[in-house]
Amino acid sequence: MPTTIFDQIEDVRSLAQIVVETVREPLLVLDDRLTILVASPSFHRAFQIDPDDTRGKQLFSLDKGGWDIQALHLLLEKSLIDKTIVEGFLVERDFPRIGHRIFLLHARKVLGTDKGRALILLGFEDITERRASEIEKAELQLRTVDLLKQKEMLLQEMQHRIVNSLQIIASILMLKARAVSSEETRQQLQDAHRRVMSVAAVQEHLHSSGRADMIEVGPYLEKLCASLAESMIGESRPATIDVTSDKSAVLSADAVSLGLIVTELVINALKYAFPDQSTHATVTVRYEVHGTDWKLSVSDNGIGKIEKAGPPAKGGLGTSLVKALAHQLDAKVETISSAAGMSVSISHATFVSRPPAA
Amino acid sequence: METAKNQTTVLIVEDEVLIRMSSAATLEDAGFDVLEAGSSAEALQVLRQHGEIAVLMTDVRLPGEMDGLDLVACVRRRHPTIRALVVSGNTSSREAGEAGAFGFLPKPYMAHSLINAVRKLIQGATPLGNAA
Repeated sequence: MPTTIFDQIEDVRSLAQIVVETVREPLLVLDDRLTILVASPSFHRAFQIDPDDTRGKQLFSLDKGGWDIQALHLLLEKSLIDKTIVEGFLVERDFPRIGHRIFLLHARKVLGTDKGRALILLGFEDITERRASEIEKAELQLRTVDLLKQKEMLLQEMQHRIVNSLQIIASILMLKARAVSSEETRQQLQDAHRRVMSVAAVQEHLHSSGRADMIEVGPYLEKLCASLAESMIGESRPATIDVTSDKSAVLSADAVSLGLIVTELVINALKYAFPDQSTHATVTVRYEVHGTDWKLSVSDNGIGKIEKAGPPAKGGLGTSLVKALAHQLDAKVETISSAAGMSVSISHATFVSRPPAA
Repeated sequence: METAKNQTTVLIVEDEVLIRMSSAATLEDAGFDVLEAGSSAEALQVLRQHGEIAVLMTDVRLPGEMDGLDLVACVRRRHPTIRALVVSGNTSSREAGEAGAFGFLPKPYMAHSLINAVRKLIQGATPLGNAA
């Protein structure tokens, strides 16, 4: 008769004993009266129970009745009645000596050859640390959601403060313009008001686009020029402002500079380029992009720059502003004037050296 | 700027006094009669005392328990003939429409934008929340 490996092992129980002694997770082998037949060394270590206090003892009497746990009764006396395997049975309790622990119990009923006799293998999976991590993670997630909400509220509050501050500045300029008797001073204050609104338009675009940093140039310049037209163009000063732009987005700081340049040049054109109201006055604002190079131009079909006799006049505040802003943008200003009109362009070009021919 | 007398009364509700003053001055220059309030509670009191108010112009962030959108909704119920213009730096036109506003003006606004917005309301704008 052929022999198997189990035939070669004298006592099957010895094999089982070896398995129980080796297993890492706490393990109990119980009879059908729930008496502990074998407890793994890992069980003794995990629960800090002396081996002499487990062998042959009724499970529920361990630790002077400390193991008389309702959950264990439910598992071993009810759940295993009709089933042979129960996995993941949760027990959470304050255990003697080791304190509060959470275990998943895995029970398996092994039916013996004698009817009614069975063995129960009861494994303990300690998920206390894992559960604590899960709780901590859930709390962190809630805290993160809460912090994000707070951040959103703070951003909205900041947005509110910024626009209100800009409106207050604009209001002061407007009230002052209304109060002064000098028409020249009034015009200057109104121009200052328009410059403030040019900066404010960037803020509004940032908020409406939901972005914190970049501005689409085309829509920004269109809205800015529409506002300037509404403010300055009327029956006494008929004109149109046309805006064309390549698709491009710039940093909000650069958008402020571009907007201030356009405001300055458009105001100048509307004020000085068309002394004769009969011409169809047009101011054209164009923004072109080629790779990293760009060009902003404001042109009109007015009378051009009138050269006066004598030394060249010093540029006013507007000219200084445009030059300073262009410099900040690392760009150059070029003015072309003729009887057909004037064009001021601000160009940013990257110069790349070519290697000398061999 | 046109200055023909419109004989339309506008109630401005704004807690920032300088903004309220300049808005009032702008609308007066354009020929409107202007009343002012610094909060929703004050606005409701003014509305009780002045039946001639045709337009309510209100900021959204106001002191007290009732914000500008709540005020618009309240006015819509109690004074259905009054048309509301909401001004704000961080509220949307949609939210203003849901409250019952007829117009929305984002802050910061220029004088001519305010005048045009009020004129549009008087000339027969439909509520922002109504598609039809």
